[in-house]
Amino acid sequence: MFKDITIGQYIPGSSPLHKMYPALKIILTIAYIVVLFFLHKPLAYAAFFVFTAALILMSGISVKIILKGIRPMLWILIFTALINLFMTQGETVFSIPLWAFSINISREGIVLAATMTIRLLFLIVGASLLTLTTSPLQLTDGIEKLLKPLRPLKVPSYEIAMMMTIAIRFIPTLAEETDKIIKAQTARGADFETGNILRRAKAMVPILVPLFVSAFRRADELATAMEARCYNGGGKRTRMKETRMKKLDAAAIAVFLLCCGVLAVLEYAVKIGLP
Amino acid sequence: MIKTENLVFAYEDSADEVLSNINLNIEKGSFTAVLGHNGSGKSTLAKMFNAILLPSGGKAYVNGIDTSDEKRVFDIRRSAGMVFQNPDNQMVAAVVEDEVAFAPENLGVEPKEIRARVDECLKTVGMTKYAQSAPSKLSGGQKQRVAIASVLAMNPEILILDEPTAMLDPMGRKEVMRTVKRLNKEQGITVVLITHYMDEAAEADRVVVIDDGKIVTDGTPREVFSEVEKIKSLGLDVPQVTELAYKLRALGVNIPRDTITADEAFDALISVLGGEARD
Ligand SMILES: Nc1ncnc2c1ncn2[C@@H]1O[C@H](COP(=O)(O)OP(=O)(O)O)[C@@H](O)[C@H]1O
Ligand SMILES: [Mg+2]
Repeated sequence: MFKDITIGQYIPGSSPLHKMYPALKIILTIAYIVVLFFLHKPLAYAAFFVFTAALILMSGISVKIILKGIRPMLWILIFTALINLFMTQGETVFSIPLWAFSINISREGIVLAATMTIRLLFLIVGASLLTLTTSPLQLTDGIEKLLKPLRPLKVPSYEIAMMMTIAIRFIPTLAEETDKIIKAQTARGADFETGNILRRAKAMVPILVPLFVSAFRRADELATAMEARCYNGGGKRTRMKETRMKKLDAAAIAVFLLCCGVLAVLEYAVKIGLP
Repeated sequence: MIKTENLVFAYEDSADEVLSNINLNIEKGSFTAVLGHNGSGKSTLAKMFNAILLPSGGKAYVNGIDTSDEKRVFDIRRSAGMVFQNPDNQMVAAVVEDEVAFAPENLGVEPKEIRARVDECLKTVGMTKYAQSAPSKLSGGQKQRVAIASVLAMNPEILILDEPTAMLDPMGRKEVMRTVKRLNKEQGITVVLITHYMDEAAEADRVVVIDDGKIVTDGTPREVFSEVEKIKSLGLDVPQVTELAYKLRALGVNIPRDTITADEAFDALISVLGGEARD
């Protein structure tokens, strides 16, 4: 049952989004989200929607898969919308009588709920686009590159990247092992399906204990095997696959800045121009 | 290539000597098998050969370098590559070719040169086709071949293998043994193979048997395995063919006691039968 786990949700492809320098892609995704929180005007959101749609189209990833990414976040979306709707004070549009009280829905509440929901939706789509077009290894590489400038501040960028790589490498191994242990325990009559939460949690102990024991043994052996191949933490390590910025990445930055310009005009300048 | 002088070793947390007074000289280009029952100190000895562990007493030299010389520890580990028993617990990367690149990356080799070495080493072990695969998708034998390639990428003169076939099926064992033998014959790499499969040891030039941290027998497979009683008293077996010859001799059949390969046994039996079955 654990065997089919995939980490992240990477979908291989050869779109410009797939080919971008991973560190830059991470930065632009963060910038995309930051820009999102500067927007208020419907016109600006419309433009933002067009830009996002263009990105999705370019990525070659089907809209269905992107929408699938939204589904697990549905409750958070609804919760955020309701909180904003009910908790924002302002000019009352209508009120819902409730026993002795009444809940007032304000105009500001409606606007805020709508804006927050739209922002969250875009945020999820943006983050999904990153994880859908970047393999875990590229993500690791990107994070390493981004942390590298912090090395003088004693941020262990290589080590963090190494840890992430090893974690990615061991997920299938540990998943397979978990599967085996569960089967072995089930064969001995263990029951993981029935009972209340406490009972089920207790039933997990015979799975977790052997899993941890073996994980520590693996870690110990792996450390020896790494040492035997001259691993010593960092500094002078080289990389076989040096990722570099290419023309495509320069173009991506240019397009991004252009879009920011358009959004700025729609958000601020158009307001000045209109009565 | 590897030389030990009165080597003694005890793990820090215990007073018992795991290795006592080991004197061993392993020749360049040789293929040595190390035998011994569980807990006899084989893995500990192997770790002496690439400075994962350092002697508590005596000396160990690899390629002429004293393993206690801290400054040269990476020279030692580069020249004596080590492959371990469990293929799952020695791989760091999520892609085969990255795994092979790991050691040269650690050594600070130029990216272009790493690429060349990775391609070359994968070819040597016959895993070129799987360069982009995830290790978890490979069979045990394939994983161990990748592990061998990942060590070869350091251009080592010595290959130390600590029970590399213990967790493999017969097919995987054959793949790995064939690869190791080829590296020894064609590239002249010195091989130290720790194993508990006697038929693998029979393929070596030399067999060293250790028991309780001491070398008890040392010689060609023929010499070592012909002493069937001695080997059995050490809790080990002899190759199946030798066992057969031993039992036949006990029944009065005139077959040499140092028969270690199936072909030899066949020829000996044929001549015993007077050559009648030859055609
Ligand atoms: N890390 C360790 N700490 C303490 N004792 C150990 C350690 N590893 C192995 N030993 C002990 O050293 C002896 C030899 O072990 P080992 O070299 O692994 O034998 P082999 O590989 O022949 O089975 C055993 O008695 C074992 O219990
Ligand atoms: Mg061992």
